[in-house]
Amino acid sequence: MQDHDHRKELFSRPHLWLIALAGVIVPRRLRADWRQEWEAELRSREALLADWDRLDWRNKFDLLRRSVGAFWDALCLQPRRQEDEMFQDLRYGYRMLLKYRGLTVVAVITLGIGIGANTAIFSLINKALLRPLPVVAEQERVYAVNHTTKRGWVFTTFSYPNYRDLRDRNDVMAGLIAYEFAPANLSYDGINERVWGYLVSGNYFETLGARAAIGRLISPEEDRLPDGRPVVVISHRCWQRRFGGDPSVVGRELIVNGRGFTVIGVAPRQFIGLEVSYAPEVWFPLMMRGVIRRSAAMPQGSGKSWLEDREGGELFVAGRLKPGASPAQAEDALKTIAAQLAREHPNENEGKTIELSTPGLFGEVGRRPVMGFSGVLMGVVALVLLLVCTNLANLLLARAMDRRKEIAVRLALGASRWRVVRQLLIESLLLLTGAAGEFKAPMALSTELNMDWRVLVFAIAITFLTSAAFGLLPALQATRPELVPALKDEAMSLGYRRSWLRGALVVAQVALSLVLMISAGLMLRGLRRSQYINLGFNPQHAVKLSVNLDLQGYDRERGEQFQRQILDRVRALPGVRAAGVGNYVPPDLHVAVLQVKIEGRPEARGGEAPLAGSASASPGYFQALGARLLAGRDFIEQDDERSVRVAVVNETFARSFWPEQNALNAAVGKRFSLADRDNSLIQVVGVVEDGKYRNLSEASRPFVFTPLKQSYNGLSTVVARTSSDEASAIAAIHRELRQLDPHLPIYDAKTLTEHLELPLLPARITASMLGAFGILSLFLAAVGVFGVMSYVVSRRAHEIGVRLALGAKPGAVLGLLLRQGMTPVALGVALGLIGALALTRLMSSLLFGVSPTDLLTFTGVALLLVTVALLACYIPARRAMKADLAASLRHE
Amino acid sequence: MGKYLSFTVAVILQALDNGYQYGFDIMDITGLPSGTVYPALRRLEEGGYVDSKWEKQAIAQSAQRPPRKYYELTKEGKEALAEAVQRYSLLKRTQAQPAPKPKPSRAQ
Repeated sequence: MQDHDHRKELFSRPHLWLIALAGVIVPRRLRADWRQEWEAELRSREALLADWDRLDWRNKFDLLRRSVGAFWDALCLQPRRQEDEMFQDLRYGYRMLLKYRGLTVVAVITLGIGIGANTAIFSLINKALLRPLPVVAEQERVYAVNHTTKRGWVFTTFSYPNYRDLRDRNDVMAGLIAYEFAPANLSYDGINERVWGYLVSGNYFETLGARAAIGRLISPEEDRLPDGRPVVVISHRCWQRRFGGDPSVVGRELIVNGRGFTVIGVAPRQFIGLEVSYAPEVWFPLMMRGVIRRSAAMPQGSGKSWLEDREGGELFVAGRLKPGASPAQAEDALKTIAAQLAREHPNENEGKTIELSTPGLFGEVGRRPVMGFSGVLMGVVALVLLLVCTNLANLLLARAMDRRKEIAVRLALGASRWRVVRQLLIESLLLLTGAAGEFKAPMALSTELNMDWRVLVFAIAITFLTSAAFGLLPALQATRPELVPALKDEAMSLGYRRSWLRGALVVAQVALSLVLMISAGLMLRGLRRSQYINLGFNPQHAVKLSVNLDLQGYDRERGEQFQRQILDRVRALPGVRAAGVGNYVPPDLHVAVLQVKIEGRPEARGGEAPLAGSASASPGYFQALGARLLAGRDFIEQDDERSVRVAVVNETFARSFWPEQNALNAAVGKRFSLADRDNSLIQVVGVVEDGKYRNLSEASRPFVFTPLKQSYNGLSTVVARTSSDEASAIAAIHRELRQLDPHLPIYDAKTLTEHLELPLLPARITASMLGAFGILSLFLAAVGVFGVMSYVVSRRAHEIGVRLALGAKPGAVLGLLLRQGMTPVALGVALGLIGALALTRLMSSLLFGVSPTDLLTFTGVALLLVTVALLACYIPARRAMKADLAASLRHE
Repeated sequence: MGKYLSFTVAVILQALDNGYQYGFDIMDITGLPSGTVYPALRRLEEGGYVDSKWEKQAIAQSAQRPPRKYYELTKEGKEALAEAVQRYSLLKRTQAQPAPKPKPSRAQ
């Protein structure tokens, strides 16, 4: 009755009601005192006010306001919860983790690796692929424009007239920009350096939404007339690094490629344009192309200036969608314009159409391999995380089984079911905290990586859900009020279902680790093979150094003289066995691709024409590279402007265009023409072995070399084969170059072996990661099998004892146990093989000379896994057989 | 508690010294909200500057309410206040204002 009155009173006085509510969050230990104190104060105040006859609504409101403050008071008491149940649970959980020390260590380490690897890889990919480009406004509405042909070739670059028509005729883009890579020789304060830059259309900065840090940026006005406005915008970094952040740099004159350019402004901090892996220091108006890219801007075979020549082109094109336009609409609209252009200029544009892609990775060409590579990485770490989760589930399941009796005791003593479940959850949480602490250290070291916290939270959440699910499942079952059998330690009543669950987990573990290990095996074999891959040249004992004569203002005559002089000097150096000059050393992503027309065959136009890679080389170049001539002859000094045009083609070129028998010899003497020349016929004089021209995993493609004297190129790479030390050869050639022209910047001075390191890098990273994860997964699978087997054996100890006592042969019992343990393993291996067959296909771009279904790797790895699993089964089984027979029979 | 008390906390100490010993009285005289006064009192108590006691049951019963809790300065509290008064000259002015009512009813 009294209680009822009290309640009634609470409802009539909301301020007391609030205190009752706030009291809920006060730590239980303090709650009674706390409530009493507040209630007493409020009631005494109430009484006081009533005495004064002033308990009107204003004072009631004041009382209410004061009781709201009680919430703050209650919140501030939260740190005093130590003695509360949660902390009891935490302490108890901590003690349990220490008790099951082996399990804790394994779980913490594997969790740490799983979460850490995922976070690291996702952060990396995030940075390369998903992270917005700095400064660029509303980046999701900016698209790169690509040219594609019916044969599946993708061109990421356009000629100027094609760009201009696309820009002026479309009504779907708020701005269509063009930009071109432009290395430049920069001179200031007596320093000569080659820097990376961009030639950009006048609407470039405006379309991308960039505002100058100081000064102003290039405007359409500055990009109107060819060679009209020699101005330059420098990057924020360049401004800080080269000019010490001095604001007076605006208006200053810099010498670029021998000509004065006025700095008009500094680009915003961190702005790099649209390519993530290219950080330019300078931007020039596109109309200054004649100065910046002297040789490329010179009239090609057709005799037209670059402003008029529709063929080829080196302009990357990107655009910002107009408000309301969708990417699909824009693509359709641009396709229509491309079709118009194909009708108007069939020679150059027939068969070409337009495709939009996400900017950032050199259009589609760069995107595909990068996506492939990162796809493999992400797949691998996702597998690892999955594996870690299964392993964790297995361990927790095992432990929960072990603790069935303990849980039953707690329930029998009156603990609520929720309390026990909460206890188990807290233990899972503690495991995770340990794991997070463990990998925080290595992550902190790699500050370069800019760990993404969202990813970290994601990985932790996934593992927490796993551990919660698998920690809870048995807990919920164990806390069912069937205490008697559990208390009596009756194992048999456990039933079949839960061992089925464990079996399934082992199947998953074995399958996952088999996939990982096979991938690792393939990568490692591929890397070993890559040492024997046919590069088409011999990287040993050879060096290369590059200079760009065009940028330094050499005309063709002086350039040829320079090339002749440097070759003479290098050949005279002691230890140099052969030397040559070329504009390209394979493999290199920047290789010219030209249309080929074979003499006497019908001409294919536009996108239909066959294509071949092309480079120019001096006599001695093949010898210096160590490339074998298979037929015909090398270039000679007499192959010059006055003589017949000649070429050395590769084996694939010869075989695909003259597929007669004994094609190599048959090709010599045949004639063809290339699209960028004046269509004059070129005679094949030699056939050189196939090589790797763009990257190491490409299929063989046609390639043609023309003599440097017939196709002059100022981009000169000296290649020398030496019998002496490579480093001293580089130093000696460096010295000779300096003597010829002390102002010429020299770059990429390295041995050919070093030159090969870059294309091999993704494979190396993947291989070392997969290798580490492969070993880890083998270990995890072994732990899983071992755990299941130990569990099965301990359950059946009694049965084994009975069997042995009745005279069963130990071998037969052992066989029985092994069969039971190995059944899920066999199933897992089968599933894993199927999974690996499906998945390893994705990695084919990273495998050198190894099939993604390499039989040796598949069987070898499967055998290794089965052996380890067998061992993991055998050890507990053996232990059970050796156990004291009498003891196991006495069990109950 | 840090070595230096904040002005708010010093004001509360001063109020206690002046004889305002219940949470609500301190709120009245200082004008501070309950969400400030109570947490501050708890921290002062934890730091040993303030002691709390329940008033006698008999008094509470006669007023038909639970016993109230009152606070008083400890020796450390008095020292801390003296120090704070040096730093906050504004506090000095409030020192000469004892509680308007007789001492709270704990003595009975």
